Amino acid sequence: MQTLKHYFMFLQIYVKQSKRKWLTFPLILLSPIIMIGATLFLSVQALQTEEAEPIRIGIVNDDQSEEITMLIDVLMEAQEAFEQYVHMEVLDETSAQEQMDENTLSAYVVFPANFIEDLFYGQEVLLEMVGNKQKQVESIVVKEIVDSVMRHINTSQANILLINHYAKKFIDDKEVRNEFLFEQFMSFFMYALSKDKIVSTDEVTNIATSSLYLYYGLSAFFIISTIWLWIVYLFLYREEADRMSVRIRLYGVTLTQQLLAKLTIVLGIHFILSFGLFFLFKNIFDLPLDGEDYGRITTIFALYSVIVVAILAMIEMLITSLKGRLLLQLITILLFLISSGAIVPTIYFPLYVQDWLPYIYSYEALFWLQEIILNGRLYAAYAPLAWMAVVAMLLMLAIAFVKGRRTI
Amino acid sequence: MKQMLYMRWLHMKRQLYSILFWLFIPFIATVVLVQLLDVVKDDTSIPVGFVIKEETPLTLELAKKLEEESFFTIHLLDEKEALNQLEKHELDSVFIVREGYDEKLEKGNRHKLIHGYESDMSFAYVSTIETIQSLVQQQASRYKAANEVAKLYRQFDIPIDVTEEELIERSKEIEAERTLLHTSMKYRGDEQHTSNAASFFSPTFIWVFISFLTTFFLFDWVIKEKNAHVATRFLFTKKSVTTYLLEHFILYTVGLFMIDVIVFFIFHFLYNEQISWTFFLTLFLCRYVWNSSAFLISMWIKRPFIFYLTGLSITFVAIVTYVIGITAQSTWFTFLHPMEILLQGNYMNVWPILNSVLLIIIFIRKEDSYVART
Repeated sequence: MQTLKHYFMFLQIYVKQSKRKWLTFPLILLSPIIMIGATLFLSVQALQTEEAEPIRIGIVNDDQSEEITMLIDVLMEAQEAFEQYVHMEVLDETSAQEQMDENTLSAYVVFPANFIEDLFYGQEVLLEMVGNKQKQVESIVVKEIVDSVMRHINTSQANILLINHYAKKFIDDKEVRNEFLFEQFMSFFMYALSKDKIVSTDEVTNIATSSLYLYYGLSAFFIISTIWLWIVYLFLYREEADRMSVRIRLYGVTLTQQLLAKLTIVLGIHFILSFGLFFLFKNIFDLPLDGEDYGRITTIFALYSVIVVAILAMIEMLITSLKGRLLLQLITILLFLISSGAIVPTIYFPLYVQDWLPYIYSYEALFWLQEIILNGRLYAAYAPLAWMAVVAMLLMLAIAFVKGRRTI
Repeated sequence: MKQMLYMRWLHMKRQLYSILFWLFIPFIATVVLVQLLDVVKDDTSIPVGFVIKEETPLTLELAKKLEEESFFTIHLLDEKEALNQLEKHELDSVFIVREGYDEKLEKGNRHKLIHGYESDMSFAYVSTIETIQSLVQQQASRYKAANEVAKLYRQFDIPIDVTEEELIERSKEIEAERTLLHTSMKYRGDEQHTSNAASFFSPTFIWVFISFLTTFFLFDWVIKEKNAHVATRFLFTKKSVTTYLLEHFILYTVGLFMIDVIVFFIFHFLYNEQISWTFFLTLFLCRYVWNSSAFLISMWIKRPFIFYLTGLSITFVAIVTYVIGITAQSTWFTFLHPMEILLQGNYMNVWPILNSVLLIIIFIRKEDSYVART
């Protein structure tokens, strides 16, 4: 009886505290939404600017042979297909450097002297690329393109060496053979460049994600509500609380009672907020959910929230340093959000990580939310999440119990 | 000067371990994260469904080759199952190898050998297609080469003494034996070649953001000391609180910069990060911007807890906007983002100027406080 009385008394204290701050509260809650909004806005901007300006690449030719000129000509013709993205230009090294200093060139590639001849006779060739430090991302893209072209040249070269091996038997004159080989090389190279027609493409729409936005919408809901939970939790933090709680405990109130009261309020506020957010989410996407679906979603979401709060409370009890506590809570929240698959879908994770995912509560929670909302499943397995919630709560209570004994 | 250092030491002595921890955590965390990202990056896999309509040596070879590419995990499935999984987004993309693959390839006909399916959620379809195309291309050009050799024999009217299989084998050998063409990359102005040019998440990148956050965590001394009971006593001395705080702000900036320099020397040896005089100049400018930002914000916040949270949110926004912003390339972005100074080497930034102006304003305003007024 006494326990319950204490519990309710602290409930009241926390309610009062949250009322006192309620004006600043909406502002803080908006922050994750503003951040995600800014993210979307910037990504749209980023995509637009990328289309506007093609990446400029310089080609510096130190090999003055006739063949290389033809090879470069072929490259120049091939670039027409992707003129919007890449623009190539033949330059000499000094003007390439000048343009790079003026920040108009992203990178340039140097074909070394005797490039073609070394290529035909199996000598090692090094192709050097110089990137612009002020355009590092574009330089990396250029490097990818160059690597891809080089792979084609490499394959062509291996076959040229094979043909050369047999051509030696028939053609004695080196000049004539070189010419023949170059013809072959060009035909192989052009053959490689026209590989685009090997694969034909069809697009499949996901059954559940009839709109892609719904998928990302659910992820965004999951992320925002998790961050909100942390914000609400931090919001009820009082710097003087640590000293006060020791004094309160002298009156026979245990740490556990104080803690449970706080968590009840945190979860209460959190549920109201999340309900509002979910309602918004449901209306935007016009989800056909019935009563039972709501029951399943609520259960899963409640179990998930309990585990998050229990973990946050454990960190708070175990780490006395305020900064350390914040950092560790941040890392934990981030780790669990990443492993849930809300940021990057879990199918892209390393396989050994995927094996462990079912044991992670955030993955389990988001998985069932997706099954219900996206795939229209009429079933959810609560047992794993429920067990995890029980374990987390017990662990938290054990820590609170031990800590409560120690500090007095 | 000596007095100042002594005073700082008196302050730090009490929480030495905590301060040491926050001073060195950026370095330690960077080393750990770089290691971790390296492992994860190598093990990230794109699940690709592969449907072989007719199992032949060449199609199986293609599947095997694709599996060998470290980025892909190949699931051999039948068409229905594969498309079903793609719809549920359990696969990134599906590729169907059509019947008669071998015959067409041997004849040199490459048209629509493979049919690819992407879903509206495929992230890696373009790069998968590129890989598959170059693998098919490899197989196709071997047959082309064999044909060319056969043509040579015919041209000179000599009966062929090698079989096609032998030629194909020989071509494979040559390619395995020698990869003769290498590419290297360096940035203009750098002497050395960058080994890991193809990574956005360089050690510097990771260090910059962690360091930014810990700068805020370290600057709680301003709040603690300006709100301390002794602070009123400054009114009776020659120095004002603001002068005192500013002096120690400079001390912190120099001290932290020295640690930064050491860290980058270590990074230079560990990860081959470029260091030069100009780099250290940008590093100093960067350090100045962070410290002055933390200092200025701490001047008008009363509770450390709120200060930490502010630091945390600013760091978060900085990371998100930076990751998106690198692709944006807009000029106002490079002008506004504080991390651009170090990461892209752009001096033209609003923060050094703005912060300096604010610092000067604070410094001039300081004479305002007299004993009588308080």
